[in-house]
Amino acid sequence: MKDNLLMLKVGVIVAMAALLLLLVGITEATLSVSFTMIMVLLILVIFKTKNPGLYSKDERTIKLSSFAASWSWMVTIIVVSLLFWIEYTGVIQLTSYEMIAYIFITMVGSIVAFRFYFMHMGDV
Amino acid sequence: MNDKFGVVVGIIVAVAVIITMIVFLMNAQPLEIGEYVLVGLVVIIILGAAYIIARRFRSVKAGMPSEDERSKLVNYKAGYYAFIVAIWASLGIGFASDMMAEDFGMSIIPRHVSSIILLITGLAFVVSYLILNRKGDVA
Repeated sequence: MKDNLLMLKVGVIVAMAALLLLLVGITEATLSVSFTMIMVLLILVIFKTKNPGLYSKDERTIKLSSFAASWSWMVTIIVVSLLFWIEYTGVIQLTSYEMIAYIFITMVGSIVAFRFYFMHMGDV
Repeated sequence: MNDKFGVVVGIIVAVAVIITMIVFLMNAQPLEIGEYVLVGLVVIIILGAAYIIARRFRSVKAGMPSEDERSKLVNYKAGYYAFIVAIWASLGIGFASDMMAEDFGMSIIPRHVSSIILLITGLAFVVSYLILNRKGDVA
């Protein structure tokens, strides 16, 4: 059942990438987005099939992950607001790509940190 | 004491946002279609936030804690959904910026990136909070 669900997810993402290429056409941007989507999925599938125990979920881990994501979202909101004012007041000149990169780094960094913290706390 | 403080801070933030909106609307006339959409999103977020604050205010007034176990769970789950939406919104904006640069030779202004992410993710939080709150089982 789990394998079927994983294959369904892979299928949906590959179909989305194909649709993107069909609708927008083969450009540098669509190719890089599609390539990234498929590579991320491939890496996930390889990791999950090699270490199934490491990625097993239970009630507790799902709850802690939700808490970590929620806290990470709050941190992201604060960082996005700060970036807005920093850019608006001209303290630092940012491009839109830099802005998106900072937001991504904040999201990934904070969720990893909060997940690590909550997992070591035991329960919340 | 903490509950009352939280509710008061929530009301102050909501009033500050409403005043900012009124000032923006007074200075930005006439509005373009895109700005109407943004104003609409902000109004939805304000209404949703006002509903959440009003519920907490009623609880505190009745001598109960502003948040119980269930509302905390609803809060966290709505935050989780908002996080997922924020990831996809950032990806989408990056892609849209790329497309605009290739097809029209222009890209999204950096402050618009943050505004769009804030609006979309704020809307996702309010909508998922209201939906989860109406549902019986949240776990």
